[in-house]
Amino acid sequence: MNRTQSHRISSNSAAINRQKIVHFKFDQKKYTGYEGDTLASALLAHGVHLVGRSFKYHRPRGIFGSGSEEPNALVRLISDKSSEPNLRATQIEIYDGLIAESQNRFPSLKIDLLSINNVLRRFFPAGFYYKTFMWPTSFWMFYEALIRKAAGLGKVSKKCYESERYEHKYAHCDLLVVGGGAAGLQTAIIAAKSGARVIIADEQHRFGGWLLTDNNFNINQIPAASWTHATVKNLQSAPNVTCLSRTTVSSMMDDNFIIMAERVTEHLSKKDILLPKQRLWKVRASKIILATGAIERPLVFSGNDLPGIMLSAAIRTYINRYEVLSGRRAIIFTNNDDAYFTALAIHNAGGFVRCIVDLRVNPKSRIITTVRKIGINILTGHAVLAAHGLRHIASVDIAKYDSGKQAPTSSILHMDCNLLAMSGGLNPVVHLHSQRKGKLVWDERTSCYRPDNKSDEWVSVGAANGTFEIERIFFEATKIASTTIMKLAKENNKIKTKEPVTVPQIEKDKQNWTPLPTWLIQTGQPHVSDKTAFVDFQNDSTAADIKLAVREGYSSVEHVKRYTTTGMATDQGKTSNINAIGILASNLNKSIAETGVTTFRPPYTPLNLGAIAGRNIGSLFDPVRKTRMHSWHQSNGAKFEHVGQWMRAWYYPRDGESFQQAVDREVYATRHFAGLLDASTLGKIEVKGPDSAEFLNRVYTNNFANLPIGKAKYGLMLKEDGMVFDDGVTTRLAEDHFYMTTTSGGAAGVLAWLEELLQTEWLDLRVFLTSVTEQWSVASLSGPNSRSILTACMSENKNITDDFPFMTMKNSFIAGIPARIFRISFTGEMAFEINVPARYGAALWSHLMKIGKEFNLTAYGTEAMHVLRAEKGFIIVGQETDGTVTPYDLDMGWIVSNKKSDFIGKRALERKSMNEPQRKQLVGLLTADPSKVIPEGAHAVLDPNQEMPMEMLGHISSSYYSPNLKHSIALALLKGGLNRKGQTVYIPMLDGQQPIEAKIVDPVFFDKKGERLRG
Amino acid sequence: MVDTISRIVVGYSAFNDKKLPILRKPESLKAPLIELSEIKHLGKLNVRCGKKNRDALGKLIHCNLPIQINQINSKAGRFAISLGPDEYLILAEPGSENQLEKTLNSSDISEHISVINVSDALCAIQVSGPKVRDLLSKGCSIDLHPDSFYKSKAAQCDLALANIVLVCLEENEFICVCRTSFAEYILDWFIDASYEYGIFVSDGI
Repeated sequence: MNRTQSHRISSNSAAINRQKIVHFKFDQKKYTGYEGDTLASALLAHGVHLVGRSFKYHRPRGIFGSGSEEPNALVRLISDKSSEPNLRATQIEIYDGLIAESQNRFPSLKIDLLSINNVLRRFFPAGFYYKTFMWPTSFWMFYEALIRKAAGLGKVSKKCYESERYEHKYAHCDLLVVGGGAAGLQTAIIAAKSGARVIIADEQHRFGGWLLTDNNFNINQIPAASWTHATVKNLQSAPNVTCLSRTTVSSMMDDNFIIMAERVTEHLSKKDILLPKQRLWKVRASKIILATGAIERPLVFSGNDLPGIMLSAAIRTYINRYEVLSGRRAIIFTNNDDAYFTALAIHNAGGFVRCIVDLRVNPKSRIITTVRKIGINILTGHAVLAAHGLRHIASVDIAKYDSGKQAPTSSILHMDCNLLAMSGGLNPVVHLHSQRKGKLVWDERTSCYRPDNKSDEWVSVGAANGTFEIERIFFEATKIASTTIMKLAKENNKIKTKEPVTVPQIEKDKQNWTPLPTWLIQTGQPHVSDKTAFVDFQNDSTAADIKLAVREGYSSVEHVKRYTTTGMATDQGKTSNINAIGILASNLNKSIAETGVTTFRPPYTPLNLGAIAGRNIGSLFDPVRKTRMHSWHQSNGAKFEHVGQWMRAWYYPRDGESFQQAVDREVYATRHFAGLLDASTLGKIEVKGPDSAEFLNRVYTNNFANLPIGKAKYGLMLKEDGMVFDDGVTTRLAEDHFYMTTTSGGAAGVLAWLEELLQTEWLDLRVFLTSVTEQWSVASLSGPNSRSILTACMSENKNITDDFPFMTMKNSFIAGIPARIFRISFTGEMAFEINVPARYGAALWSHLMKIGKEFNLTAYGTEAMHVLRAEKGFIIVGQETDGTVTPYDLDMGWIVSNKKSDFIGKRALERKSMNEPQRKQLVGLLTADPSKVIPEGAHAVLDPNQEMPMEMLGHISSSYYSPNLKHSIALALLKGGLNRKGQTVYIPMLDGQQPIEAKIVDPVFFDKKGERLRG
Repeated sequence: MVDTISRIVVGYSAFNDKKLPILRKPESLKAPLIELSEIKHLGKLNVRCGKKNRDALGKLIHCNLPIQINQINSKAGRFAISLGPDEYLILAEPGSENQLEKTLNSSDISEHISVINVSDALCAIQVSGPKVRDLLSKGCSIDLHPDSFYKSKAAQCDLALANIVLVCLEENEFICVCRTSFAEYILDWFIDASYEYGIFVSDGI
């Protein structure tokens, strides 16, 4: 059965379509609402206020506001496939079939077990967790699990990315207008006429802002509602304007880079499956106009968090815009004129305003006279001291109140009600301004912080700028829009400033916007009342918490924020910050301006993680790069490993072989016959220009100046700090032309670093670089039979293989394919790296495998490559090095030239600490048990029986079983390792296993003289 | 032997084993709004030279090198794209790259320039259709408004997680030049991003 919309009133709001009934569920109960309703307005239409339990004390909480400022009404939306927590009911548009649930309660909203926290709340002061769970330290692990369960808000759905689509979108514009209220619309329409590219974004589903609530006046002789409608239409039809409703500008960053989230299809009942749920916009704007409006401040008094107590303007919004009267017996508590409009609205909607409690002693204005005339009781110089009720407000205590002395001055009057509207003045929404480190200034007249407006890149206008009177908002918006357009026109001749701009005529009573600042309603018993006088509703921090912080010596506003957690919830203190500062200031006996204000940080409202990820998920998470030989590897059963973004053949298991068996076979075959490795991923850079040799001399530690044409040389590249950065073989192709190779993973970084050197440091060098990593496919042919295979493959000049010494290069043709052939080796065997243009890569590979068959040629993967090179003690940059390893640490002092006047890293290598004998140095390890392979990354110690924490000697960087030596081998970086050869070390293991014993040896395990290599 | 090889080369696709053509389109649309294809076997040269030799090089290429960066010149089927103050990418008719490279490298100015054949390192993907700018703006952070990125403009930029050189041929027609190993990712990205528009991927030109 559907419940009746008992609180719906009749009016003629354009925002609600009474013809379209919408069905939805909240906490398993069925409700109805109308098209245009938010979840909050539809629930209020049924008289439902209670929608959640508070974060810490689990107190009952109701709908409080009407927009993004809402601290209480956080709900979870549930769909078939996923759910999303912590959404503000005030911003959720209802649709047919919507299912929402309240949060932070168990087992139900009405009976919540953890509401015991409310009873015990005197034991949970500010800093409770810091103070309580500090000792004993070892108990933290135990506490943590309990706290984690009790803390936090909402539950995240685990698999939503599979069913929900989020997209990204980049955009550029001359002007971004944030906010589509009076100020935003007025600036946007002026900008639109100038021809500028404009984006206007508003977080609500309709443009208009407060004009949707307060529109009982004329703009240029037409009703405000009609003006709004016409202006939005004009903007939407202008080709140079992008109008984005349901779009929250969440972050404003340097150089006017803006992140905003557009809710594209969330509000639809039948989701348009082609369009994403949300679109994350990344915008670059030349200028930004912030017309973000203002948020009403609550008043702080005991019990001010009871359901049925709402912001005054929110109550008016529900009446005027949503046709919902939130309660029929209302009391208004205010320090300014605006709440009188709410009183009037409640009265006109058929509600009974019992009285208006005004903190001001003798307020005078037209609206007050109007309200008094219709017979509403006004208690001036009074305050609401406390609100009472179990799960809803039932009554209030009212007394005369002296704002100067901050004390009640009369006996208490009890009055019953079911709705309390409170209004403590307005806070401009300065969040985006503040995110950009814009300064805020305290405005005495309106008692609020407003932006200093000193930037040239962005400007705040209207209520966001502390200008609250509608006629002044239009004046200011018109002026600022015109100035901004003039600035833009100077830089862009497509923008015209010719059309005269006039300020619209507003016909409305003048309103007094000077509130009487009263930050906390004090009672005779502050130790009782302060504890339920809530400042930050979402994080449950009270006036008592702030006072406690002051007593404990906190004086900085930033420290108090963190200690009490005020302003740190998902609402970022939208309703709490200024009240907290006010209470802090009065307790510190300082002015608010002296106390200062905290910085608002992005995002303005929480961003969905899915929106941040966009489509960079699943198979699009990271590009996968394949070589041209990939399909051969695949059809020959290769297993692959990821090396950076590259997918490389790891090993090729044959019928039923295990990983180890396959690797052993490949290693054995390469040493005894021949092996073929796909080495295409190696970074390759063509270095060309008259100064190329000098350039290489500067970037490598060894000498390249006299390298003869056709000769290759291995080089180590260091960074300025003397640490190994990359390595590879570089070959001289011509006097002014070299072919450099880099590690597979380091290729892009090396090219960028070398380009940077040429463009910023060595402008005198005539050298050009071009990346050719992917121009060449590389097959590395290795093993005793490699020369015979190569000869057999040569299409012409077969005899060139006869005279092909180690570290030389020849151009020739293999199977008709033009090839650069290098006699270089990473396996320690005689080896040829055959480079062909990538289009021939697959053909080359197949051809080599075909011809190589009779020579027992075996394809081997990266794992066998690792074993083969480790047998030879060849390092891999990134495995034996980690940015803290010098050539000397690797025992490669031979590659560091002491003849060259300079090279990158030379000066650092000369520092004294570089020769410190206890640096970690590269050694080999042979295990006592030849079959035991040490895990890579394990640590070595001298004495395995010493007490923990053990003194560690260093770590294992590479470790394999060598089928050629029939022995486990490892490379390790050990403190003072070079002088420890012959010593025994132990590698302690986890899980109670015995430490592995190993002997420190030379890192070259195989063919120490390199005869096979040169052979 | 050479014949075997050339057959393989003709079948060569930057999209590897992707079965083409691919047609993805929402039911509500008669025809997809995006068309995509690889322009196969284009000759591509990376040319680096200073201002001094720019015009001389242009003459040898038969297509002037653009003076402005992020600009393209085209003549007789050749494109010269400026990538930076001293770097150009030349797109030339298939098969012409070796001869062109030889000509440039044996010229009088060869000492001061660098001409490197990158025909196989890079691939060119043509993408077009009425929604192509909206599509690109999902992954490309440059200003793609027609007032800002128009015919004869080019830019080195990112497309989602890949580096590309984006070239505007016509209002709704672009070439994406990327490293060959990123082609498959880029194709997957385009297919995914054109979800709402529909896409037809042809077998290549």
